[in-house]
Amino acid sequence: MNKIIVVILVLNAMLFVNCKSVQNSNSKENTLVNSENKTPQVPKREINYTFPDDSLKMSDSAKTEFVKNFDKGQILYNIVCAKCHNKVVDGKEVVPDFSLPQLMDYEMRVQYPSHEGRLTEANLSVLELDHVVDYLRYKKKSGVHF
Amino acid sequence: MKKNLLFYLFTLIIVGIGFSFTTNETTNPYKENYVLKFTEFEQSELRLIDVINQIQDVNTENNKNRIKEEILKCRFKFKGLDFWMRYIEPLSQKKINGPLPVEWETEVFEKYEKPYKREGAGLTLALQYLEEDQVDKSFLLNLINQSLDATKVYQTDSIKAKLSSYHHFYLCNRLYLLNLSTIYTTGFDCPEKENILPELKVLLSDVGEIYRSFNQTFSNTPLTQEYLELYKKAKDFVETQPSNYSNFNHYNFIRDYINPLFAINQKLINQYKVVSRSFVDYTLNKKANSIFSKDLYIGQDSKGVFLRVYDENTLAQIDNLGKLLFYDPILSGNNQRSCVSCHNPSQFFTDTNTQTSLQYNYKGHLERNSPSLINAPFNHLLMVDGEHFTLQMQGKAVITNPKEMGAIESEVLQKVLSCPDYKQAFSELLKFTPTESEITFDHLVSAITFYYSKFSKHNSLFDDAMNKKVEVDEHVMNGFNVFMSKAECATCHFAPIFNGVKPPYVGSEFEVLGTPQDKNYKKLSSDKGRYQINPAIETLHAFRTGTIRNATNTKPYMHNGVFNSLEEVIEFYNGGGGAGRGLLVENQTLSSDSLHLSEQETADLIRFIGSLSEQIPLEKAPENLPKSSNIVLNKRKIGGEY
Repeated sequence: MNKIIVVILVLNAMLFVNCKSVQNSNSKENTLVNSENKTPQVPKREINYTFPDDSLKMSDSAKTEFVKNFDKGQILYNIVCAKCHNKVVDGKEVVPDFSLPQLMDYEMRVQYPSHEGRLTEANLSVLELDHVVDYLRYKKKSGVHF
Repeated sequence: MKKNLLFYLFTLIIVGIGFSFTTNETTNPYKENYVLKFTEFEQSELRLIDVINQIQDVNTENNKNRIKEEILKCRFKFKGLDFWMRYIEPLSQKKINGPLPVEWETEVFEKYEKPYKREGAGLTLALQYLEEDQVDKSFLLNLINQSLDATKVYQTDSIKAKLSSYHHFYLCNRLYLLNLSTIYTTGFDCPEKENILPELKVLLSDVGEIYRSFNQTFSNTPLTQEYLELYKKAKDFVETQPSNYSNFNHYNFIRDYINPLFAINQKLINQYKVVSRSFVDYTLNKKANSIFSKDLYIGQDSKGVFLRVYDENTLAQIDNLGKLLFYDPILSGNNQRSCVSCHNPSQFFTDTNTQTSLQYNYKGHLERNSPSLINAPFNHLLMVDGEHFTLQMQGKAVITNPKEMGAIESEVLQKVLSCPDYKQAFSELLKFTPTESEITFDHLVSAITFYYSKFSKHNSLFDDAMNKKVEVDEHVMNGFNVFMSKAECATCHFAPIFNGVKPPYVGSEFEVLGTPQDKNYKKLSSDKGRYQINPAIETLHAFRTGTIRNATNTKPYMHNGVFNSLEEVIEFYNGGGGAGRGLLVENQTLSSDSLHLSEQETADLIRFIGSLSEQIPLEKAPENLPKSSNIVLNKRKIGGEY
């Protein structure tokens, strides 16, 4: 059984290029502001991004640009979405895996009544929503479904 | 015996199931009314198709009149259904009673997508088609058949399922009330003027029936007695009005009935915790309690990268930085031009002294007139051609435009950061923009858009009058009534901003007016307008409809500033635009016929427009601009030189 898991992991590693996010652990940057304006500390976790197969052809500079945007998406997710969407598994807070149909760009704003008044353009702009969706699509899977 | 018992039980279950279905149906009179009305409308469309089919020659006067009569009967059947159609499935509505054969649309939630071509069909277009000299029977039938197909959409199970809860109803009703104050009394979807008021009466009465069936069905979340009584008064008011829509008292109809009904409906939306799942509600604000308020819908976000900053002290800092940058020519390539050069705060954030501003290189003038920045945030697409969809994109484009401010992004940032005051202030704000690790061009532009947008929050005398806080004189009231009817202004300029954003306020409209190059009307303005962004036959020389607010204070007018007074502008419309003056404008969306406005009507119209001027506070230039470490830059003048 363990052998199978190891094989799967190795295969995964071969198939996908795991890009480590370029993250700055500067403490000043970690201070985020949430909607209640209480400036709490939202810790930035180290996250790997999973690029699809054909990204092997992608240049490193292009990848770096993508990762920059994924990082922005991660920060925004933590500010705007994490409070309701993150799950606690074995005492650890986990960002769940959203399915592709769940990540519907602007449709998300109205498709779920719970997003009303929360996922508005006043809380997350059009450009920012794109970053969040991209981050959630390409972040390394946590294995926890939403 | 056992078999018999089983059979007995089996039949009992079947009957029981059948019975439970029938009781379900009968307990929803609201849905029954819906199905009945749509079925009746479908039948009237089928009758219309029969009539057309039976006619051999559709081009004789008699036969044309026979068809027209039948179309109008259909439209009466259709009228009350608009209550549901425009909300539940607005695209199909355009196939049933679309006002235009082709519309190009980009709606606010689709900002990244290219404009869609949406083809209209149905009753109004069929009526208009009958006015043509040579009518082709199959083309006419096609318009009606498309309408019939679209009507069937509303009878599908997925749409009828929505009728089982009360939520959609209050949102349908909100849109209905907004439309009553903007399009149903102006001829927007009813070009034959004599039918506007008869159709309005049918509409009010049909919706009254919808209200009754709703209250029967959803007795826990009903329309209140207060609402129903006021609605009845609105109907009675319409009955007392003269039959000509130009003499209809739009002012009192909206102020005394529709706007208060809207307020009650908003209250009920909150009270019953109505939930929306529709893009139709995308920009509408549940908290707004008047149609004539600046918080009715959300247009642009003024904060840009500072989107989630709510702290007032921080916002004041951003505002202050925005003001300094707005007056600072450091943003231009030659350090001689600032935002103020073309958007002077003491002139309602425009330049009233020149038709179009000087080009960056001092040689010649720009093609387009500087628009006022006041109320710019209430547009979904910015610039008269709709090139940009955020205020920040627009700001960046002007600063880096070689003909306008002639700057290079990286140089601007470098120059601004060479001023220690700017550098320190923006550095302090960095903690509010956690996605950015350093100061960017976006930070500068966001401060600017935040600064000038605060001047769009003010009300006009007319808003106060519609909210029953003040009275206006009869010339203003008459002017509004002319605006809503005979002068046809209101078919393109919609309350509350009186720009081209019409209910449900998710898109900006563009129109082809045939604006001339100069007042001699020898040539059409060569500016292709919307065509430059979205090339199509319909968009050539089309421009986004601007606001009428503050028009008295923001001359000159039109995209090229060709007219210098409101009298000239109204004269232009009164004469049927460019096409009415003999210019060749094949796709003009403005009627080329004269409006036959009298001198008094024009004067009242101008008085009404005057009542839309807002109480903008006087803005003083900053006393100093931040000093730079580069001494050459310290010679720059506050507000720039030209």
